[in-house]
Formats: sequence, structure tokens, C-alpha cells
Amino acid sequence: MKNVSFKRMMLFSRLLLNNACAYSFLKGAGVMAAVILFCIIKPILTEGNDMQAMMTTSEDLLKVLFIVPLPLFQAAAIGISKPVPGLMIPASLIEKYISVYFCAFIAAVIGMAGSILIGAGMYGIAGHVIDPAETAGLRPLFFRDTDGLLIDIPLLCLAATVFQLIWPTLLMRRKTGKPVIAVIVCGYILLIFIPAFLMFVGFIGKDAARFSTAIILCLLTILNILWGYLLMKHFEFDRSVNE
Amino acid sequence: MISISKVAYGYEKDSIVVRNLDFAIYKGRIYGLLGKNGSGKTTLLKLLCGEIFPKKGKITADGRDAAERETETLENIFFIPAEFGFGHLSLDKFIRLHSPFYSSFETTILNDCLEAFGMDKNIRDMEKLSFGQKRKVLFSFALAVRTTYLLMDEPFEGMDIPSRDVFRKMLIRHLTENQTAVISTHTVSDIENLLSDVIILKTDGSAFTCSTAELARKYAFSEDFSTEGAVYFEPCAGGYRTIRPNIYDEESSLDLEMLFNAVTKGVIK
Repeated sequence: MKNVSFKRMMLFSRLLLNNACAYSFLKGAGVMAAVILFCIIKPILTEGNDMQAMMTTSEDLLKVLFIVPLPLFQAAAIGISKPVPGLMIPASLIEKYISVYFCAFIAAVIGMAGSILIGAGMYGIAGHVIDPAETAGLRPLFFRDTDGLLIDIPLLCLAATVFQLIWPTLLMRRKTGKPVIAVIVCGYILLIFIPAFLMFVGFIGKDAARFSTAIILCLLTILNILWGYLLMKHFEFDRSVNE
Repeated sequence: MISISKVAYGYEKDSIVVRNLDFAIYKGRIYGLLGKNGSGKTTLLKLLCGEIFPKKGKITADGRDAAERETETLENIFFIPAEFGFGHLSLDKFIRLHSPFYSSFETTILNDCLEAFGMDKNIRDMEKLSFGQKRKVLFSFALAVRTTYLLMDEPFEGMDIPSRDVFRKMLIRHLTENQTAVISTHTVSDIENLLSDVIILKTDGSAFTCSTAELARKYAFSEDFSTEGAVYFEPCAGGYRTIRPNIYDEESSLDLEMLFNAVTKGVIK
């Protein structure tokens, strides 16, 4: 039997997606729409009359929202207990791992599309009320300042993959020890801020610093994905932590 | 065949639930897994299906380490846990989501079992079923996926008396000679006439295993006025229920409860 089968991956992804939205896509879509609405309406009500500030806050809230699905799907892949536990479903670990990312990607894409649509509608209405003159110039959420996306998207990917590592790392901490985990965390933070530091001391320019930060974030994300698989495998197969 | 060699497991470092288990589970047989509360019945079933891993020793299913959880192993073992929920989904959706993972799944078996249990196939919310009904559905599904090994933890819990009879009939009807069932239960009368083998977990973590044919050849179970020659006896209304060495090749029906008591008290080893 093949270790990686596209069909099994899709079947497991379907199971995960169904589980995540309580076996009803309508229910799932409703919950997602409600959360998106909250992320959009809250700044409109609390940020005064500055449309740009409102949209920035909405975008920040929504970015956090896109990180959440990955650890949720990861937890579901391990913990589905209705009635066959996720890890006991006949599919290989790599298939389950890829399915987790696939489902998170699908959820993020749907969430992003929903946010842009709902955001455009809500801010269109809010613009007419708050500042009719500026409304015509507004762009949809996430596409007002495309320069910021260079750092934002890799940073979001990194954040999502870091969240995914937390649980298995916590399980492993007894074996690895707290100092090892502390060194890894410090190494991460130092790596991310090296370009900013070099820019601060004048070795590189602002654009070079932004590009290097983006590249470091992407590399760390790839490292996290690979490491996440190894940790999941270790978590599943290590007899000392499996109980 | 599931081979269990020198297996030990404990949930805490210094507490051992099962120790030095060393036996095999063969194809085409029905095993009764008996033991007192906390003797490790559920633990053993979880070890067999690879849900938890032995701290010592190894369990292999058809030559593959169960703890490796290879796709082939997972496709060949189905475990019905003692407690579970389905979530708020219809039976149809549950089947659509889970059955494609099992290549040997047969809808006809599922339908036959559900019909025999008197269950409607059009269940819209599985979570609203009673516990006994949930068990019937999962048991029907487990038979329909036709895995080589079917492990059941307290399958009769919550089932009414007629359903227990249907359970036995369905198991006999649909279990093929290439399949094996392991049934863990406290109520021995439910499975007494069904079993080909017995596994009794003792409180010290070890296990007694024997086929019912071998037991019948070795021991005679009867009700007597005296206890002379009995290896184990218990008083009853008509005298004594006894277990004697079967030196005269007598035919007697296996009294699982007596056997269980004799084994757990260390009389039969």
C-alpha cells in the first residue's frame, strides 16, 4: 500500500473539515461569517471616525483569525474521537499531516474571500455614513497597502506553524528539558531580528532588510513544517510520551 | 495472527497494568476477554489495535508492529471502544466519511445488521440515539468494514436482551473464517456459547489463555453433591458446582463464571 495516496489525503481532509464545522458546512460558514463580522464591526464602533485606522484594526484581527485553523485542524487530526480516533483512521501519518495543512489552507482562503467580501460591503456602508468623500478611494481589506504584505504573509505563515509546534513541544519538554526549548526560542527571535539590527547599525538599507526578513520568515516556516512533522511522528511513536 | 510477546504496560512509571503477556490471537476465532475491574482489559484492547504502545515487548498484527500504525494495520483492525460519541451527523454522512478508508466495506452487511436490530437506516442525528442504539450502529458498521480483527470493549453495555441475541446472530452470520473477534465483557453469560477461546487477565497483570475445546478436554464442569476430586468448587442450591479433571472424557458445557473464578483465585494456572 502506498505511503502517500492523494485519494486518502482528500478523504481525511474531508473528514477533518466536516469535523471542524460540526458536520454542517452551513453551520461552519455561519460561525466564520459571524467572527468575520465581529472583526469588521468592532473597529467601526470603537475606532472613532478614522476609516484607515478601522480597516487596519480589522485586518489585524482577521490575520489572527487565519492563524487559528491550523492548530485546530492539528488537534482534530489527533483527537477526533467520534468514534474512531483521528490517528487510528487508516491513513499514513504523512497523509494526515498534509491534510491538516490542506484544510487550514482551504479555511484561510475561504476566510480571506469572506473577509474581503463582507469587509468591502461593511466599509462601503460605513464610508457613506462616516466620510462620504473618502469612500470612493477605499480598496478592499488586505489590498490597500500591498507593500506590507511582503512581511505580513510570511509572518502569518510562521505564526501559524509556530502554534502548531507548541503542543508537541510541551509534550516533549520533559525529555528535551526547558533550557533546550529556551535556546530554540531565543534563536528564532534573534534570526528574525537580524536584518532589522543590521539596518539599525547601517549595514543594509530598509528594502534589503525587509526582503531578508521575508526570506528568513519563509525559511523558518519551511523549517517549522518539517519539524512539525518530525514532532508529530515522535509524539505518535515515542513510547515514553504516548499514554 | 496477532502476536503478543512479553508485553508490559502501565499508565504511570511505577504501576503496571499488564505484565509479561505472551500469547497469540489466531484468525477465524472468537476470543472472550475476561477480567476483574482494572485488570487491564481495555488497556490490552488498546495495545492490540496500536492506540497505545507497550512499555516493554512487542505486538505484531500479521507481522507488522501494531505500534507503527501502518495504514495496512489500521485498515485491518477495528476497535469498538466502551465509550464513544458520534457527533451530530446522519448515519448516511458517517458512512460516507468513514467507509472509504476500509476497502472491504460492504453495505449489504451494514443493512442486514441494522435491519436485524430493528434500526431505521435514516438516522438524521446519531448523537440523539440512546447509548445502546449507538452501540448497535457502530457494531453493524464494524462488521461491515470486514477488518481482519474486530476488537470490542463491553459491546453489550446498554443493549437490551433481544439485541444481545441479535448481536450474537450477526456476529456468527457475518464473521468469516479469515476474521477474528475479541470481546471484552463482564457478563460472561452473553458470550458463553459464542467463544472459541478465552483470555482471562489476572489481577497481577498476567493472562490465562486457552481454547474452549482444550478446556473441555481438560476439565469437566458439573453440579455434584460432593467436592471429591474437584480442583475448584462453589456451593450452590443443589450441592456444589465443581471443576474436575476430565479423566473419563466426559462431555460438559463450559461454565465460564466458574472458570473465571478458578483462574483469578489461582486454582487453575
